[in-house]
Amino acid sequence: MDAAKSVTIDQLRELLAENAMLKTDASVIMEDTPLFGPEGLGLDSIDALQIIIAVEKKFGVAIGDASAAKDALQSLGVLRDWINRRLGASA
Amino acid sequence: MNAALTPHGPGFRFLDSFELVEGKGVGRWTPSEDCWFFKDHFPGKPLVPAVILLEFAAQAAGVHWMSTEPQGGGEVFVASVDAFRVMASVPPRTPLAAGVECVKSLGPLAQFEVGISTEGRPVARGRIMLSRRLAGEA
Repeated sequence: MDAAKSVTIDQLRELLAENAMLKTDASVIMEDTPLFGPEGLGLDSIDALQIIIAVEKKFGVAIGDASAAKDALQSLGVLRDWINRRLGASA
Repeated sequence: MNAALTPHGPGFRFLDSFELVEGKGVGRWTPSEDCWFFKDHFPGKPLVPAVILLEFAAQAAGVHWMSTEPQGGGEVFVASVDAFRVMASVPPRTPLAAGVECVKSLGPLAQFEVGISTEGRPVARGRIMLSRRLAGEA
């Protein structure tokens, strides 16, 4: 996959808006804003599974276990890089 | 009285039977005219409430999950419901089938696509997420 087809932060903002119970407008979420915890977006485990399913459907990348989910779902930037590595695209 | 396929008391069991077919679950239930909710929903025109249809599908999904991934143990609760649509009303003695398919399970959570039908005609469909712990529990 080339860089032109790599996943972008805007795509992930849209995915988050459609699949998570956001308390803020997705457009203001920064690359490094934590997805979980009081210092971040405060998403919960239900949001996490919704996002994982959406990522698998939209990008064809499986997040197979809890350890991978913890690695991938730290922030939108981390998730973008995580997906792009598995797609073979440049981040 | 329905067999106890789930931990619910007899008044809240909505599964007469359950089977796994090629990895997909099928729960069946024919609501008797004696069901407690028909008297008031609605007087003179008994129909199965939509929330009971949802519970029927959730019970089928729960049995599916416990059948295919029993190692998680414990009780199963509804965690979220998405895009649940009801396409037909259900009077007493309607034979219902709830097809349930696990989309993804991860730790204590699993999401299922569910579709309720009667004799091949769609009644309701949607997505149900189940949890092996209540929201807010560590």
